[in-house]
Amino acid sequence: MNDEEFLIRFRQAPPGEFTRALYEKINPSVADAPGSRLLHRLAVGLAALIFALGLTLAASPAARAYLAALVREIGGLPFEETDQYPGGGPVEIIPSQTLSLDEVRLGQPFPLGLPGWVPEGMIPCDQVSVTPFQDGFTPVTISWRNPSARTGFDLTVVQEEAPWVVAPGSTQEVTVNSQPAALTRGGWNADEQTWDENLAITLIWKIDEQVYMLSSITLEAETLIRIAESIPAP
Amino acid sequence: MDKIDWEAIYLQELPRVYNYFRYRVGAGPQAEDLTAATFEKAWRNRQRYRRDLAAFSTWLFTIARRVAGDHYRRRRVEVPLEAVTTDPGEESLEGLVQRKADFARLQALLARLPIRERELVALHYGAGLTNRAIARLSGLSESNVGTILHRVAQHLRSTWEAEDE
Repeated sequence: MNDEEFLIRFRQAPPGEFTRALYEKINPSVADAPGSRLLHRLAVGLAALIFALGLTLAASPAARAYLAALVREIGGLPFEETDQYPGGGPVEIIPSQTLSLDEVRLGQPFPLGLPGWVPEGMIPCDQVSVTPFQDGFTPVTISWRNPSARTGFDLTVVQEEAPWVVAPGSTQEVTVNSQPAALTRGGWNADEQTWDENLAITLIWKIDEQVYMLSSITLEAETLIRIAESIPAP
Repeated sequence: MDKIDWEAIYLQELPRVYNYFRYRVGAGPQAEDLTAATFEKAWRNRQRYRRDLAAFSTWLFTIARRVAGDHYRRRRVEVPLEAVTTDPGEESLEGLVQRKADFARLQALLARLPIRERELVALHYGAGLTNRAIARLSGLSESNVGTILHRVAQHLRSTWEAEDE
């Protein structure tokens, strides 16, 4: 490491919540505007990841039972493949809380593994997003960003092994450290109510009883797998 | 002026200004507050920005440096060195925690530098400005900026390594 690298390695992306809040403060007109590109850029990665999961878990017991009959395993995880947009009806927006990583680790009943390798220039955001759904399902999301290359990825850890609703053919089996995992290309576009193949790539696998999900709009599948393989079992 | 993509500028410049303040005054809420103050001032006055006179980043960092100066004038007497050293409440856990501890350690070293040197370090290593851009902002010559940065970086590195031994 030369002197330059020694000193620039401490650069860090601003926290996502701060970025959003400041933008809304200096541009009051965008705070309520649907489809702000900034909000879209910041939110789309997580939305692609969480949306189907949230919808599935928010569904009624009858819907869950119906889904159970259609679920098949890919990479050792449950998926329902359908062409039908799984949303519809009233949508409840559940605000995320932002906490420090230490706060999350203290409050979380399960251990949290972090990558030992990330692509060069990726730095973790200060704040961790925690979204408490009604039934106790609480995904924890940590984001890494490379501000200069405008790329990044999100790591989400959940305890519940929910069936993910995906488009047919969008999900394939891969391996992470020789263990089965699922790789999904795309996500549900709530505006168009269709599956968007370019929305994100999401890698899903299990470590002990936790489900880990790595999602990115910009990184290749091979890179996500390499990041995943660097996460040790806690 | 109408063709300027302010949203893209915001996304591009925010991390640079944020890291300028992290290196200049330290991490945490202070860096966020000063970053916010800079962008609020810049956005209020953005119609005054003239592309024919300077790059937007130069204009923005002129504002950021004023905000930093105001901050120090207000707090010069109030901020002890301990305030920028390691915060034990932030420490724990693997690479992320090590990075935080290391940055707190760097902040302590930066706090010992003269204001001009720390300013140059923040502009170059924090915000990623080139020596030429820093020269425009600071009034120093480009070669002078390069010489000072080279000397300061070597000093910080050798002090860091000496503390390790």
